[in-house]
Amino acid sequence: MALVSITELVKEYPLGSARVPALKGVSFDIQAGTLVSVVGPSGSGKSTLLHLMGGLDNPTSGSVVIDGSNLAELDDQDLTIFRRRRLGFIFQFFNLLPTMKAWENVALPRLLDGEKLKDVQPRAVELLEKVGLGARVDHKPSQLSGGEMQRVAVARALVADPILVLADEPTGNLDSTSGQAVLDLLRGIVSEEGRTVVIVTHDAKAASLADQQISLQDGVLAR
Amino acid sequence: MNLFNLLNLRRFTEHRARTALSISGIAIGSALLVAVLGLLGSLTGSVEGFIQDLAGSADLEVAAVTNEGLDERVFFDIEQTEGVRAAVPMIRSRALIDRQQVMFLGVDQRVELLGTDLAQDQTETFERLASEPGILIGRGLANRNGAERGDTVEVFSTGGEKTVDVVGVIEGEAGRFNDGFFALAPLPAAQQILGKGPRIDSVFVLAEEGQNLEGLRRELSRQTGSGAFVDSPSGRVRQAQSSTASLRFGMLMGVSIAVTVGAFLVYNTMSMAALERRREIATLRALGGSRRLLLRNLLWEAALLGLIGSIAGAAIGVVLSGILVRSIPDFYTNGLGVGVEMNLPAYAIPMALIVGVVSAVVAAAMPAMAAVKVAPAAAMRPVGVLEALEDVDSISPIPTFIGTAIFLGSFATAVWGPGWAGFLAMGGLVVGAIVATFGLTHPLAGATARFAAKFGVAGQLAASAVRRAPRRAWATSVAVVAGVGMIVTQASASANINTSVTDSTNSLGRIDLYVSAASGVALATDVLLPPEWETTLEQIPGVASVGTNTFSFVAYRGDRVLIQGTSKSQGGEPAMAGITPAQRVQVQEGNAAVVSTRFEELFGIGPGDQLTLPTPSGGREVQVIASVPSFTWERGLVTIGRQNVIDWFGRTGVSDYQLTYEQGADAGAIRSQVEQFVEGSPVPVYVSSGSEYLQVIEGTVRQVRALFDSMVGVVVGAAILAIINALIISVIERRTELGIMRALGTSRRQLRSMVAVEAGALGVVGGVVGVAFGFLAHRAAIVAVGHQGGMPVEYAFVWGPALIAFPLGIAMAVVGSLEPARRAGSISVIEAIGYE
Ligand SMILES: Nc1ncnc2c1ncn2[C@@H]1O[C@H](COP(=O)(O)OP(=O)(O)OP(=O)(O)O)[C@@H](O)[C@H]1O
Ligand SMILES: [Mg+2]
Repeated sequence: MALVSITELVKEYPLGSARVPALKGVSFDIQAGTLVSVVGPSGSGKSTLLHLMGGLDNPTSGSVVIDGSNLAELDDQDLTIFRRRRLGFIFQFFNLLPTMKAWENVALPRLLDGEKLKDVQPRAVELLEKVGLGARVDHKPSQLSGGEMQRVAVARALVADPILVLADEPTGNLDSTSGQAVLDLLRGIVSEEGRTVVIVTHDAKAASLADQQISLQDGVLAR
Repeated sequence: MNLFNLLNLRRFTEHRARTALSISGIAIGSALLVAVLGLLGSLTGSVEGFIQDLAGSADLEVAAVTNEGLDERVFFDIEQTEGVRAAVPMIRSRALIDRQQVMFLGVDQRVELLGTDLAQDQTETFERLASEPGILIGRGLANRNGAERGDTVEVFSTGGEKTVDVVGVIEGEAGRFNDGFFALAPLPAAQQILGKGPRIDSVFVLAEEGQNLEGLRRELSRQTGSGAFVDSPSGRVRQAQSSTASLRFGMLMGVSIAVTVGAFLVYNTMSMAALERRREIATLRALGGSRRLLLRNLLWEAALLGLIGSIAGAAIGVVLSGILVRSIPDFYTNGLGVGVEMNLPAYAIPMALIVGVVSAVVAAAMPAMAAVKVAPAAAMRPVGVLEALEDVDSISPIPTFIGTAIFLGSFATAVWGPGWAGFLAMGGLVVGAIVATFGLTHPLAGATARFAAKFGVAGQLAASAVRRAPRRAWATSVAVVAGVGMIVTQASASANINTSVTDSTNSLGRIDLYVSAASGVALATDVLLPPEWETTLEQIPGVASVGTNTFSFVAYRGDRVLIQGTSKSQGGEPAMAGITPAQRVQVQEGNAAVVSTRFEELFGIGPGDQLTLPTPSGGREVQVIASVPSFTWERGLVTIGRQNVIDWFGRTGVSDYQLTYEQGADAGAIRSQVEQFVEGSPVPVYVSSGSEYLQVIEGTVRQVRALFDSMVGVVVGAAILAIINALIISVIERRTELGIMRALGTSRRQLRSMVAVEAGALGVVGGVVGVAFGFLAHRAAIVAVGHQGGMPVEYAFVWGPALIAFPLGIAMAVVGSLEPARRAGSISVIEAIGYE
């Protein structure tokens, strides 16, 4: 059975009295342990799709089922807990919290789950070492380069042991070397740990690394 | 707690200046609250302490209605009354000892029943007093005049001057009664020294176990008739308190406004902070932080800010309150009958902390709830877009309507409502104005933008900033509204008070020379001048006539009313100036009374009514023929003929003589002759000309005004902080944008002018609204102060304050923009367009 199952997904944004259709009925499955890329021209609905898969927003119609949970059936509180325990996010603009050190940023999702800082610390440091930032554990985001920040964000996305990692243009703000490092990391997560990762990207090279490619055009799948 | 520490607390330490700014609102409110509670508590506490020290465990006090006292036989009747366990007779009169004001007590052995420090372990002293005639004095007096056992002192009282032996000084706790300024003698000796004859001032009553006190009070009242007044010791405290009602009222009104403005500042900083933290909150939501958790953290943060702010404020407040206590005008302490000592009530600081924390949490609640509603998907938005987002409808009818309703409701309450609601209503006016302008954010921001756009390129940049962030524009201009509104309200009210006081007292300037037993605006009611002086003063060449006045307080319907007995009036007294010469004759012949408008208001007795005055010789009927505004005494003034005072009260002494000179007389010569004549007097005598006397009154008005001006100053300071805060956040939020503008060739100067023009335009719009607010608030304040605070002040519209406050509002905004403008000018292009 597929890990993610998306059926007839529709999203319309209200704009004044009009409605902007961003997704017009999209269906596909994602198997566990694969790297999936979502590609398509600007405005084609990639980010919208990722938001719906991550339970960050509600679809107008259609369903997203992840590991047997239909996101539409969860209320805000359950969805929040689902995101916290089952999903990992990587943002284009990193979104690290400026007041926190690198390892504290990594620990954050589990702190939100009520765990104690010192209990999460070993795991956070281990993950930072894994993404090659063993020497930057105590740095604040303002003391890190863009590529380093995004690697912290990757570590953060993994700290809660998620079944699905979602990344919206994770390399969009990085130079090609740093971008490549992040992509290698994500590829490694899939092949070595068997996790499932979805990347929205404009980068042809990134897309080519994927096991499955979802191509959007004007809110529908392009064939 | 971990999270709270990482997310919220670290922010405090990393943005120290910002944190300080955001707690300043709370700190200011709490400082004022503590200062005013300290001041009011000191007034009450001093009276309470005095009465506690005197009355001890007494349940009731039967007190003479005037200083003349009660027939001592009353005591035996009281002692026999059913339900009375014990009764303690006492003389408690003011007197001068070596020209020092003291409380002169006359007691017998029964005083021990009261269990006060004064009565404890004094058996030995009483024994000494029994064998050795003389008085004991308190430590304070002994330190002042250097008298010890074996010395003699001069006692001056209504009974004249006496030389008395000091048989001892009371030390320890007991010796500190009334600050140590007192004398103690056996009852008969005290009667003799004070010339009281067979009279006493009070009988303290201890009721039997389980006795219904109200029933007993009524029974004793009935028994003792109109010459005495029966109340619980705490009733005496209440009575004393009511004499400072206008001060209390005005101060609480100021605090209520200041706390409202303080809470608004918190709301302001919190909503700015919430806007600034949208990305962070969206990220936390995306990562699985629940709304409840984030909301709870934000509210904890507010509570903590509130706590820190109110602790800091309370510390300042304690100092301020000491200053306030030292600067209360005599005018207010006069009627209390005791010296006022700094006495911070135990509840003041806890209350300030609670008010601080609660108002911070309440003020933060709305912005915090709005902040955690941000869509988690918003975390994905590009930097710069999210932070600049504001969702403001053109006009929000609901807040506009609610705000207007609160404003009008408060206005109505202030003008027509019950007295106790008056000061809350003034706070309500502020809340109403804030909420109503919130609803009108868009039109206000539009007006500001149109105005700003007139000032060149910088003006156009400012206009676009205002249009894009109307909520912030609103927040800044409301700070200006608060400052300008307060200035207009206070200055206009002061102008009205000044005019009313001047109108009501300028007749006092008609008198050429006052010879009084009290200084300044104080009233001589205890120690009086000898009546024989009248003839002597009349015989001084050049003196045309000598008017006399005698004052006395009487207990009237649970209040302390001032009685003025006047003879040969030249029309100098406000009460006499306000009536016709024929009426004046009527009053002085003893057939009529003039009451103050306040008296009429409090007791419903006015022209045409019959007034029954309680006097030592029983109730006396007198016809009221006029009511006249008077500032002399807040709880009402009754003016009658002096002969009535002599006949009914047995009070022959004179409070003040009022001399008028013959045409062309040598004023200097007469004055020096008078001064020479009074020099040998055992009582301190104060000689002043009519114009000097008016100056003293003016000085008192100025003193009172200064008290309120300082409150306005605090609010203006808070408003400037709010402006700085809003503009700095505006600059921080637009860093990227300002950086890009710099990159595109905008000069530092232009950026600085942009911030200054933005502030100036907000100052103009806020100033206009503030002036309008001030006009209405002034109207409400005058009615509230006049009708409910006890001052007969006439409302009159004045332009002057608005003309000053308006430019001052603009100046406030521009001063507030200096630091933000500097920051805008010094933004580095590279940094600003970098991420995070
Ligand atoms: N909050 C919103 N309100 C209204 N319309 C929106 C909103 N978010 C997205 N849209 C519209 O939905 C469509 C799809 O947007 P989306 O952000 O998913 O595109 P995208 O494929 O991620 O583009 P890009 O590659 O530029 O990031 C666009 O036409 C966009 O204008
Ligand atoms: Mg996108």
